[in-house]
Amino acid sequence: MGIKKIFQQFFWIVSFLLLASVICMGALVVGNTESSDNGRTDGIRIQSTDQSGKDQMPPVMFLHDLHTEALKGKDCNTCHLKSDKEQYTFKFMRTANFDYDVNMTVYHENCIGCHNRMKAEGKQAGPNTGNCRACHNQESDLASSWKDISFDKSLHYRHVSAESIRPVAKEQKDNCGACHHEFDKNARKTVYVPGKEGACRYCHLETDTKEARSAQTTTHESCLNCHLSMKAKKVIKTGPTDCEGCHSAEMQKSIKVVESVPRIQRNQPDAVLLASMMNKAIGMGKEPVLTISPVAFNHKIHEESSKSCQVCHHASLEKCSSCHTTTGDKKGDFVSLEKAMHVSKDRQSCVGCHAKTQQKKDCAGCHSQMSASMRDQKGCQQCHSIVITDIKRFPVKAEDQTKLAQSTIENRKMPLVSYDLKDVPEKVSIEIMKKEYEAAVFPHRKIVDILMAGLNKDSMGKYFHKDKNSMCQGCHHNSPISATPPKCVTCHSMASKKATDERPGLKGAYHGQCIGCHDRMGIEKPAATACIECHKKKS
Amino acid sequence: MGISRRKFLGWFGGLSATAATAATSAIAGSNHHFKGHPDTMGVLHDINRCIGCRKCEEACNTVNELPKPEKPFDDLSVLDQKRRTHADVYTVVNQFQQGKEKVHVKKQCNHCMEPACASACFVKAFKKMPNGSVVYDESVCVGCRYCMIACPFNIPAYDYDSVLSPKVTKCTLCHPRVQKGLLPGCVEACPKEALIYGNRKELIKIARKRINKHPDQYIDHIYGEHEMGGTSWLYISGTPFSEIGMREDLGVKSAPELTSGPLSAVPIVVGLWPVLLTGVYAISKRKDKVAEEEKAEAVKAAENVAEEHLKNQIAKLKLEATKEKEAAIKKEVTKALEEAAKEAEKKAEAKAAEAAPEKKEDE
Repeated sequence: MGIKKIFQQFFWIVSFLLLASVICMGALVVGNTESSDNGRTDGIRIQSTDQSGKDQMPPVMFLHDLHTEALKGKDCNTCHLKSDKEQYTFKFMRTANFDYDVNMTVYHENCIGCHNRMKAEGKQAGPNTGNCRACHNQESDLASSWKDISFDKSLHYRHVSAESIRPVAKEQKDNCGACHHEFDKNARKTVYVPGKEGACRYCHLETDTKEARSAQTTTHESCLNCHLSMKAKKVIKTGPTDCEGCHSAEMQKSIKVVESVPRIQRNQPDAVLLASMMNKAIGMGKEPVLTISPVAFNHKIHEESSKSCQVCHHASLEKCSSCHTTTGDKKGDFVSLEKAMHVSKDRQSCVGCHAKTQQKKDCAGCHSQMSASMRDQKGCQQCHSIVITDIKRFPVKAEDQTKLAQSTIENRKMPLVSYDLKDVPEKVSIEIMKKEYEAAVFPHRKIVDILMAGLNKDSMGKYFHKDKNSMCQGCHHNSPISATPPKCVTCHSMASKKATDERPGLKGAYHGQCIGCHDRMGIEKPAATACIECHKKKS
Repeated sequence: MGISRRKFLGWFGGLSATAATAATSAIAGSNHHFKGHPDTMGVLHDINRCIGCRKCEEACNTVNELPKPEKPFDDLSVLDQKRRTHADVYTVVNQFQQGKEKVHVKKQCNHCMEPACASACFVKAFKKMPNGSVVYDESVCVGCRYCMIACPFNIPAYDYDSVLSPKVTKCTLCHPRVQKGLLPGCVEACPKEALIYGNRKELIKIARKRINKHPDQYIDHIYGEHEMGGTSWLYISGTPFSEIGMREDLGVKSAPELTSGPLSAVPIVVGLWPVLLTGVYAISKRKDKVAEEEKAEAVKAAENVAEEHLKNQIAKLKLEATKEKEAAIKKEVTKALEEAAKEAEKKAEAKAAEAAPEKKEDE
């Protein structure tokens, strides 16, 4: 009887291992990232490539959660082996990838072996020996709803505050060491260095390197092993251990979000004075020469509005200029500091991120119609605002510079954007189409109020629209800010004529501005094609 | 002065006729690249701006005096189906769902710089005008509909319902209106200036400016700048063109350029083939003849040789026979002579015997 039991257990183990092996494939496994509302999140494509270029069977689409469900009550070790550290390696029935032939044998022996045993036991089982096409079929094109999960500030805080991962060592006050570590090249092991925490991605890249596993392997091995150990310890609040838990849109929505996350403490500054040219001279022991006005950068407020540190600190938590030097350096991929701050297509740059923010509905009405590059004199001064009249009084010491930045930020006045009622007409009647339609009545003040409300909602909007009436320029563009801007017809001609430049005619200008803005702001009514909503038919 | 007006005009006419002939033959015979008429006009369709209101369709219907459709133009439910141009519909707007957004694309004749329809037409019913329009001359059309097959954009439609005088129909880029200084009907009607009419070169500059100004809103490509050797209609869009029903597999060579190579070989083939084949025929014919002659000669020669040989043989035989005969005769003669001699001897002996005693007596 004892032998029989052992055998049975062995069968189960093997079948689990089969499952796990699929996950384990590591480099061989590619998650399908195509998103669809009703696809699966647990599809793992097993596709081992043979270097010989021989004809191969189609890849296998392995459904992981289907197998964990079928093998409920069993351990992960049914399919996954533990490495020497008593941690699961999430490859199928092996701890490392082998050659093509060996990998194939591991899969075939273990998958089919388990299926066969299950069948022999009279249980529902997967495809058996000889049913090659039952696994190797076109199912690899199965619709996928797999979704990347972002480890945002809320999720980070929940791990920071979790009691269950409090360090045993008393010298460690907080949870940081549970995940954060540095790689000690000499000892060839990871060590926790307080105050040196950074994002996983800084070392764990897209693929394996000599010093670090790929981000995919790391997240699965580290996160899952910890979650599993918590589960084993019967910790109630622990993270998911199935594919769906992290990678389905629905489950992601159900993850509890902490609204007001306390600031992450990692010795970061509140304010930074960005004056690289001057600091470069100071660093070389020379007298600083005034070039462009320094920027008082509000680090704290940017922390609040960013999802994670990585939004700006894409490669390390060092200051930007340590890689992006003023002239460009190999460390910074030869992207100079100026470019790192101003490249508009790059999300990590100041200008790029601000431009991206302008794409949100509240801003897009006006900003989507403006040029992507914002290189005008006034634009520069918005950030480069510290006017230094006497270079000799420029603070040389770092702490004095911080003080200057801090005081500049504190003195920044960001009043609610407002206007004088008398300057803003309540309604504007557009009567050019009198022949065919009634005059179109444009609710001018109502629109201004809506735009103002959107603007006053966030500090970035308020900061960049400090100038009174600057918001009016969304529509009253290409002319100086004024309470009495030129009429549209002044520049946009009424006659339909051949196009000679980019400037539209009056009809195009009106419709472009109105419909374009409604479209960008997601205002569905009136529909763009509902002419009579704006132009009442003549009775 | 020396030259009279009549003379001058005569010379001038002669000269231009020669030049025209030379130029025509040069284009037809080579892979000459036609860069288009200078200052040719066109339309820029900014697909991002199109809202699918069908005002252009309505204007097209009105200015071309086409029959009114079943459903009115303000009924936008027709956009639910993909449509194409027809005999009495020169332009259609199609709607494509792109995620949550709807993208609208106007479709009509693109007025190629070097039109495939014109190059396929053997009666020159289609003509590219210097102002960009590709116009159709009903009076010469024979109704072969090669143009419909040639068009890479599936535009020309055939008036199948007209029994007696069917014609090919398509957008004319409002050639008659443009000549009067008006804008094409669709362009004038577009409320959003999703269509603008102007100098093609200028339109390309405007399109480039828009793409550069909003690199995030447009695909970096002007459809029609190079497609099929370039078209008078140009398109810019934020959606890949292949996803909104526009072919991206057409290449950048115009239809005439693609066919001019093989077609330029036609005169050579037509001119040379008969000569060549006749020559081949004549040569092979002559070869046969010569062979025949040679054969006959050879047979004759062989016969001669055989005859001679026979003669020789006969002669030889004769000679031998003669010789044998002679030898036989000689032999016989000799024999006879010998016999005769013997006989004579015998006789003589006998005589002598008879006479011997007498002789002895004499001794």
